[in-house]
Amino acid sequence: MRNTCRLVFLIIGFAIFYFTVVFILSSIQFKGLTLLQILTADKIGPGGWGHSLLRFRELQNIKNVDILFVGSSKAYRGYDPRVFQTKNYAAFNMGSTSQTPMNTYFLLKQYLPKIKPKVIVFDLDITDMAMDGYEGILDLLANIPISWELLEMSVATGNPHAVTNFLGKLIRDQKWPLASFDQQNMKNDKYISGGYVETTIDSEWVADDNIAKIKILNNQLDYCSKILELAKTFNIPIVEVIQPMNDILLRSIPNYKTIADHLKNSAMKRSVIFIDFNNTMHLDPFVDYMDEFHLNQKGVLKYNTVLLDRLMANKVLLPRAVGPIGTH
Amino acid sequence: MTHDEIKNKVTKIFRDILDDETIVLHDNTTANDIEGWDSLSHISILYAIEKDFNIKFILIEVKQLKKAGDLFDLIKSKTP
Amino acid sequence: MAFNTFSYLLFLPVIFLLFLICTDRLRWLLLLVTSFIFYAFLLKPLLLFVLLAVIVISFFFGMHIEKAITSAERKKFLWFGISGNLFLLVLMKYLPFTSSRIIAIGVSFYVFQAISYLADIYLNMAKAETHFGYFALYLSFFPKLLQGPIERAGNLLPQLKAKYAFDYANFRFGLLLFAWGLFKKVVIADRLGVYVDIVYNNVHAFTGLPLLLSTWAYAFQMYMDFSGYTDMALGSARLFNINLTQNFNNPYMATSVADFWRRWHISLSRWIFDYVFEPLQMTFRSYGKWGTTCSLLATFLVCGIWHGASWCFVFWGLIYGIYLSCSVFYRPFQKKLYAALGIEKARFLKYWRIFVTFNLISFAFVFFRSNTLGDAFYLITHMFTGKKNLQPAFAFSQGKYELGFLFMAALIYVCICVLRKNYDFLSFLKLSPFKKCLAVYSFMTIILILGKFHHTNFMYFKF
Repeated sequence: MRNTCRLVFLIIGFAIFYFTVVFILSSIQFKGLTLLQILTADKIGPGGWGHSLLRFRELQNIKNVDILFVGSSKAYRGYDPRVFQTKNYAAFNMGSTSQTPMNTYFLLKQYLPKIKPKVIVFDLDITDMAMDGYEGILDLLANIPISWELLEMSVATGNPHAVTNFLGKLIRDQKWPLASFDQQNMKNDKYISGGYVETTIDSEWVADDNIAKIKILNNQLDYCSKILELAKTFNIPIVEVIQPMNDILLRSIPNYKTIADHLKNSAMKRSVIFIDFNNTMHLDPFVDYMDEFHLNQKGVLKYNTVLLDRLMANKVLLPRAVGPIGTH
Repeated sequence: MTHDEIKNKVTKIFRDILDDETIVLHDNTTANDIEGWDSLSHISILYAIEKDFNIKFILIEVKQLKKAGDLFDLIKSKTP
Repeated sequence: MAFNTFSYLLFLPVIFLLFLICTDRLRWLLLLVTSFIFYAFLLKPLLLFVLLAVIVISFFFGMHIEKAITSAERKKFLWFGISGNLFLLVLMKYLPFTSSRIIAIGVSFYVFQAISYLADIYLNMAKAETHFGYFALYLSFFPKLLQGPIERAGNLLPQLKAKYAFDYANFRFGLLLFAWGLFKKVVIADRLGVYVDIVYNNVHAFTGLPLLLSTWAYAFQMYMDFSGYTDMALGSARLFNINLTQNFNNPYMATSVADFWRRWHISLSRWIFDYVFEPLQMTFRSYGKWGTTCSLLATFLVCGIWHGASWCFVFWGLIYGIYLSCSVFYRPFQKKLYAALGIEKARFLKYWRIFVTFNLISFAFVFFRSNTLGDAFYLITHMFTGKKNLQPAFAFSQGKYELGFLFMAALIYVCICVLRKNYDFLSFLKLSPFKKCLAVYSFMTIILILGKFHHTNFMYFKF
């Protein structure tokens, strides 16, 4: 009994010690990052790469969202709201850097009650699903306000740094509030209202021919299913898509077909529409892509037009009278 | 042959092979005590002993050797 | 499950508690079941069958070697047992069909351990185990199952059979050793790995200094990773009053390549010396130095191949075979030279030899780490060429803060090593409870903040 008390006392003592160290390290800033972030090699500060600061700020005040896009950088660089606006749909892009299904799940848990979109388009990024979500959470810890779901996400990564950096954020946001930060200007990137990031890069890149089999983490697959169930609880139709991938990237993933089939079967089991655009679309690796992973503006316009038509053909989106902007 | 005669002869072989006139062997001497007596030179030493004493060792016997004294006893058991 | 995961940090205390409350008679059974469950966590059922097959084959043939009357019969059973084990190893690791579908974690280690068991019985250095349960535990004991050490029957079996009594000193030592191993792995090795990977996964993008620095960094990464794992294994085993063999003894303080192999992955090097080199040398002893040379080349070829079915590993092994073969010839001259110069006992000579040996080892590591032979040859031909600019810093400036961090981690490591040397474990224990608490808290905090927990596995997992 005495030993159990001692053990509990020691654990509490450690928690206090640890929190004190985190407090001190989070109160010292150096070139936009706290000392804690530097030591844990968390290099992402507010307003940085990915434009999540602007995106989630916009999301706080959004009135109406018809189509909500979620996913990784492939999502926030892959869906231009202006294309959907042509058919009078208000689209919002809630993608973020390295957002994995695990990150997406908790984000949806937090934002679906607020936003209540008519449709969710879940962009499946299979290279992302080989990751545990830690990189994904760093972008969010830097740019979105504290929330209970963010804490849940930190714990769910299973990485002590995620929890440590969450604690650090608690302290950091008091001293240097998020509202005081501005979005940094990213070369070649332009933020478009609706969460989209338009690239000015055409195709100045060099192909990197690394062949690697992707091993999707089982828990990411679990989160894919959880997302589908979450959408069901909110009664919001959800569509899973794999956007057209760069040939060079596709070629470098020998087990792509197996993974895509697995995801498709999982979707069909829950009667969810699953569209793999790699079966029907083929874009030019050097004309339509800014790099191995992301479409450029040309590619985005081509893809989004086809996607919009498919969503309407599948009756996921019902036709709307196209009138002056703001008539509905 | 007596134990001491064997010891002296073997010491001479060690000194020759390891090129060190200062080597002294006791019954409890092990490889840690003699510089140069390692796995690379061990078998050369044993081979020289085989040639000198006109005997043959087998692997099982060699594996049982833990110290110089064991080696002396093994040689004694093989020589008339 | 890897030692540096939450699952293991939960698994170990639970098993230990069960072990404490279990009756002594059945503790072996608890550990055996636990070890199989531990192996099952890899989610590869085939491996469980392989382990069971190795246990059964070795147990069966071990008994037969001992019972056999004639020397020819003993030899026959020995070779049957070895062949059966090697067949499984080759099947799992070297045949394209199986090896491309499953990473045979642990197989190399326990197959070699099983072979050492059979050989020791044959050589009258150990007795065959008659209790199947203890024997199975000897091969599958979970702290050493995935990456060794490769344990000899004479060391491990008696300890497994000994009556257990809780020993607070062992318990505490085990936990601290585990924490120390964790520190080496997540704070030092995995951080170093970030730089090494940047260069080695894209060698053609670099010339000159980055190639050299990342090779040296790899030498330390490998040492910290594997010795970190070993400490965690030894620490875990110590909780159960089991002393596993230490695998490392300050390897980079070696003054020669032969010395290095007495200090690096000791359980493997002892294995290849006892069961490959010595028998070969005995066979070729009448060929003098050339016989030794052939034995060395063959031995290190085996060592290279054991690490994996790739030309890089074969080259790596052969390099060491060549190093050691050359040393067989030049050692007498080297000795004469030092004597003639009067520097045999000189301090600087020792440091010079350490420096040279370290570089020989690092050179070999180029092949060990390179993804392809082409990469390895590129590395060695471009290591000292290339533009003389500050581009070399590129490998480290991916995250400028990381370089600073790395120096700090190295500094902490050195401090702790110095402290351990001058204020050994016992004097640590004599500190006041408050100071001890503070020291342990600080250590754990350093691991949690400076450690890298992201997507890593022990490097020796893949052997």
